[in-house]
Amino acid sequence: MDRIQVKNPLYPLVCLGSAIALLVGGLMCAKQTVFPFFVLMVCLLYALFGLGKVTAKCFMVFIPVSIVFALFSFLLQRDLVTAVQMACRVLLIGLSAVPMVTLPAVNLTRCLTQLGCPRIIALGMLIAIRFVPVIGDEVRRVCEAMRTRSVGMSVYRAFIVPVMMRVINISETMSLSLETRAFSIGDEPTSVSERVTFRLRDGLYCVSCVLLLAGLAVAI
Amino acid sequence: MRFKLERFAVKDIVFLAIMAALLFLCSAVAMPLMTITLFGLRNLATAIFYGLFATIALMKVRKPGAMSLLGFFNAAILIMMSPVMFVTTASSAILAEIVSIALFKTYENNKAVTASACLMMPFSLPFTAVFSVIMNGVSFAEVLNFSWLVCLTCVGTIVLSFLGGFLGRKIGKELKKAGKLK
Repeated sequence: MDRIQVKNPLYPLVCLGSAIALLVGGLMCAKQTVFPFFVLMVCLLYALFGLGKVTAKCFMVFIPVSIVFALFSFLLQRDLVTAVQMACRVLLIGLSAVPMVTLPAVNLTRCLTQLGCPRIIALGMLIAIRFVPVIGDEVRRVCEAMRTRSVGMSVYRAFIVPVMMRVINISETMSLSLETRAFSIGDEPTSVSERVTFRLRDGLYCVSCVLLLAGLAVAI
Repeated sequence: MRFKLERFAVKDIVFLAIMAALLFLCSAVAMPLMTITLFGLRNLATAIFYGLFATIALMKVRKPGAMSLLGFFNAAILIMMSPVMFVTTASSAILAEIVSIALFKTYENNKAVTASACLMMPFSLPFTAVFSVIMNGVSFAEVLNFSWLVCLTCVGTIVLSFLGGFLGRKIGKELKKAGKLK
């Protein structure tokens, strides 16, 4: 996840709001001829706000994926229009996720803490987001161990039990580490080391999104 | 038995969050099924994993609110990709917890744990239908197009969810014997 971060990320709630708004807007026009223009405008908007490289990477991943999905859709339903719409929807999911993907998870947590969100929510969200690659590696390791021992289909005994043991061990080590650093989820006053603030750039991005969606509403 | 609210400890939150990350990885199996518009197919594919891992999570953290937190943390990862999935996952987890707590009052009983974990995926079906109607601009009749196949996916989701719950309890007992669960 760190590999797709940008130098200057947007304000977390702006990222979240724009991801939802652009996805909903895009889905509303996914079946119409205005959709390619919408995608083009969103790309331009992202490029203007420093998300151009990530958008290009997103296209490199999602264009082949959307083609595969469209092919499957065409093979299953024998309808070219449905297949194209499927490709558009898949592409849109990737495109609308760009602001959220570029957002460092710690910024989201800091923002939530600043806004007075309960610490259990902020901590849980941070761990859940950050631990996806870690747990993925653990799962891969268990799979490799299964292959080394030539274990075939014994998913229950050879896969789930070791994965669960690892997950429990990781969580125990992690909670111990948090407690030894005096982290608590009580009502004690807290400070945020680096405050995440809403800047003029975020405001401009919001206005641009609203204008884009208003234009889309007029076009539909 | 009376309903009692218990405070979550750091280790509970950490465990639930890590389990949410694991659930997210398991739910990735439903990604290729996006090409098929059959209602309930993605729920069917992920039901067994949600039943299994949610049961183990609740066997470790037997506190009211644990299921909602698990659902919320899982949904927090999904929000990065689709806000719709956030609403569906979080709402179904909260609903499953409300039903389970209303019936059993506490998670001390293993039946309450299984009920809460296994009801999550079946409860996500109505939310999926509503969002399909809203987001794709189609009617309910179109969503539930192939009637017998839809029945099959819905029943399959419920059966697989409870099968996952049963497996979860079995694994949970083994982990308990190994001293990893209370």
